[in-house]
Amino acid sequence: MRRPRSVTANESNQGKRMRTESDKAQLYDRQLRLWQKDGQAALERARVLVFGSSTLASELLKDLVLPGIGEFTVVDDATVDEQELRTNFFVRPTDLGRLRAQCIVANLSELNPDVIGQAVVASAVDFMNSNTELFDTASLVIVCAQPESVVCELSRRCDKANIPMLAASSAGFQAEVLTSVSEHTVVESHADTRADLRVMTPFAELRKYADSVNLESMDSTDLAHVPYVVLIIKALDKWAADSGVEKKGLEYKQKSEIATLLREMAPTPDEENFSEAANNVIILCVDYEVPLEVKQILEDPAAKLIASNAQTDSFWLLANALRRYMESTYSEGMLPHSGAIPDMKADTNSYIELQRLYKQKAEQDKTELTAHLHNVLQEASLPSNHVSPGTIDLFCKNANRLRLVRTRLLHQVLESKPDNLEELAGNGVLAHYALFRATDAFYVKSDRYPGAPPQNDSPAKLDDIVQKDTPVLKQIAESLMAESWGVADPEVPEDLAAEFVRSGNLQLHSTSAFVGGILAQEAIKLLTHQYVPHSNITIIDAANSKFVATKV
Amino acid sequence: MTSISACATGYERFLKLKAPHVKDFELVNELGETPQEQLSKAVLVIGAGGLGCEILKNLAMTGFKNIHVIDMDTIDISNLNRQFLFRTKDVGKPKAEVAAEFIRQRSPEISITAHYKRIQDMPEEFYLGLSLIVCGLDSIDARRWINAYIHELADRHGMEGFKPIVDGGTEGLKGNMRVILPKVNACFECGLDIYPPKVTYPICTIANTPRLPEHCIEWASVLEWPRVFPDTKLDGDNVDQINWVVEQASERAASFNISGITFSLAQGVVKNIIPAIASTNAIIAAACTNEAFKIITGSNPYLDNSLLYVGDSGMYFLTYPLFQNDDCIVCGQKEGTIEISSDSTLQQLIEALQEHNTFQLKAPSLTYSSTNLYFQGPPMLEEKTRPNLEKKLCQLFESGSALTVTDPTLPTSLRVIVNFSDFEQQQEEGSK
Repeated sequence: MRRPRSVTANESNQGKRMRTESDKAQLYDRQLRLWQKDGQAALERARVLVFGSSTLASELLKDLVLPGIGEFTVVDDATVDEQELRTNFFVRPTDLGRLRAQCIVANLSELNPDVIGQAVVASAVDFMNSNTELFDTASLVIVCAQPESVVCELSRRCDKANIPMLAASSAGFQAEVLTSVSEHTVVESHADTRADLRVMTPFAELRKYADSVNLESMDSTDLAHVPYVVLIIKALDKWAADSGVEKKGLEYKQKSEIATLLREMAPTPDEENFSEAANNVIILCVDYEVPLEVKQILEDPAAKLIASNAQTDSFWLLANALRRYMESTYSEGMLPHSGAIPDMKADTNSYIELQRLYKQKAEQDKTELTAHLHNVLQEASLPSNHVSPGTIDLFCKNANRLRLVRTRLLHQVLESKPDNLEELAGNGVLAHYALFRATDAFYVKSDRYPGAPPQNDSPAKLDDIVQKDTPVLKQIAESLMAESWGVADPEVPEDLAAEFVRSGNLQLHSTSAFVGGILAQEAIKLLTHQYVPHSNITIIDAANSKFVATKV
Repeated sequence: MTSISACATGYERFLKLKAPHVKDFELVNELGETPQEQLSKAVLVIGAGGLGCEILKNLAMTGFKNIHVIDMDTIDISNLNRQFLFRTKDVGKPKAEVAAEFIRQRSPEISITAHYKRIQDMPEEFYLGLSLIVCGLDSIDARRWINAYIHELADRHGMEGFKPIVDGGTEGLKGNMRVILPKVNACFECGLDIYPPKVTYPICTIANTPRLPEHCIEWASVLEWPRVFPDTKLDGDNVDQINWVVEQASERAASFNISGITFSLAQGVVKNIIPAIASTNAIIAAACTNEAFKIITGSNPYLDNSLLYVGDSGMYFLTYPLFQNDDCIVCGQKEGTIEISSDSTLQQLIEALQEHNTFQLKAPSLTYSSTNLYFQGPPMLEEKTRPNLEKKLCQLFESGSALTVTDPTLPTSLRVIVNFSDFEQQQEEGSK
């Protein structure tokens, strides 16, 4: 590690050699396989503002600098002390007494020459009030181990500038990560969806293709190469004709009959494509349903209103178009097809032909959606090229796994009771959540954290302090639960309160590294608009190896 | 106990204060060692890659004073997006050595020793001197080997050979962690079926009915390469060689109307590349180190015994006790049974041992009584035993015979009872 140098807001790493595209492809190969070029581009455009420079901040930033975040700014006026030397890998023994933000920026910048890092020596509140532009141009704000009053003020400020925010704090083996985002939309959620093959209601070209396949005239070699999509359509037809029952709302017993029929149709008992067909009947022979998450998006007011207010966000313009598409007779209540089908046992020609049919269907659906989009754009007085063809394409390909995330804002969360008391209690983390709030209340009242030695009172015995503080912290947490949250007979386990106090609110390296990883992963999800963020809180109890993601 | 300095910082606070979650927490263990002394005993980190770099940093910053790291690999440019102890100038150097040197620079008070070797090359005394092992490996085979080896140590040396293993693994935004206490809870082998086997494509599909770009890449790399270059092993890191595969695969794909062949896909298929990112490694490595710290110091209860992490759709954590498998070939009865027809050839038995869920062997060598049935090496022995591969099992031994099987995934041999599935039928026919 290089000796830390002083870095200020005016000095950055510009002028360093930038990597070429092919260098980047090699360097980032293992992550490009996850979020692709567009995800990487989003990361490289991002400007992240981090409040705090302790171990938590260092670990988080390591996990963002390595994958190549665009720029980061660390805001803190703390200096490096003994505790920090023991827990923060990105300060060195020679940094003792120096400005911590500058030390970590210097050491972290070394991990990736493409990333621009800067330190601003200021308190969070001073920075907020003076650096309007640096704040307003941030893509994401991350708050590490700050008092709740500061977190709330930053949350209000982020709300005003419409910037998503993450906040984390830790006390020894205990930690929490919170997300505050008024609205976050995801097209590439990478969510697992079942194969969309439409065997129950084949579109015209698929129906025509299935009809053109004549199983009766085939020998056993040819039969072994018919893709299971066609086999299931044939079996469904035969079953419906034989039983006189409509192909709709099939029950388990009926699906079993169809699977049996498919096994009977097989030229030999273990013919692979017929087995594939029989095994897929249960999941494929179901009525088409729009996923709940997508329904919510279509029913959201933002998907209905355009002309009156200046909606320019492509996601919502496309959602508007999608809502109209779904209401049109063309769609028959089904989302645009992605054009993708799973691999299945078949000869090359049959599979490629089948693939072509679905791709063609996807293209037709996209054309139809684009027509609706053009109407939407016209009504919003936006140019017809406002949404790029690439964006439309991606939206259609992912139409059945779109996601919308809205969380309560952090100041609302922290200044009122948790939204979901039962869920927190059910997950066994209500007491943890209360103890974090109580720790802050203790700090506000006593000007020191529970378990931390009072200033000007040395040499105090640490075990005495811990013993004295534990019942106090427990009591604060319990009255908060009873009086502010309306919990009848609140109970905070003595052991857990003692574990919080034992830490003196200090950070442990392993816990910080854990939390840093979670913060970075949530940051990457928010910045790339890929994958699905956690609900809004993750609680880490590393003392008891208990990790819970839930909602407050 | 003397009074504790009120300014105790970092992990030290946790070694000096009563642990609320541990019954009868003692500040010295049964051997009279203080937590500080326990942290001074040697720990081994296996793997200095994505997880390994994190684990090394975490151990160093958590008070471990005597750390060994072993890795047989050298640094590649594609490691630098997560393996933060390495820089561009280090490409080509041994991972273990560069990682150890970095930690040494940051924390000179810690003893850290690098071993640029295979785990199989370290002597028994080395393993006996450890207090704990943390694995940050991507290779299932290496994890099976160390797991079996450590169980054997515990068998032969009792408490002196008892070495807890904390094992971590990641793939993309998912990961898992296990605390393995030899003979006490489930071993790595007991949970082997959690790991899906490598994706393989049937040869007939590759050769005759390709449908996916992957099928064409496999055709070029598995069938065409050895045919055209019989003396050169295909190297997934050699750009020219992968380009050759891309060219051949593209030509074949075009003739079948298949699209989607790219360099990245070809390299991914040839090398079986698993996506990896810094943040997932950070989470799993931290979970591993946290458990290691708790096991060594007793400052909090350790996990019983498995953690699953899924981060791609929300955040999902599952902790659960994985149960010991009575049939486990490592910690169970150390003996396996396989059923196969007496008409099968020795070659088919070998394939069955490779595919069977309980065994999943790589390259088994077989002995019956004192007869060498088949040996994978050395070449002379392989050549001598090769004719047996074509022989039917009933020509070689009787049903119910116990074979001695050795395999690179196992440090010791394994007894496998071979039962002929058609045995009763044969008996009946014999008595007619």
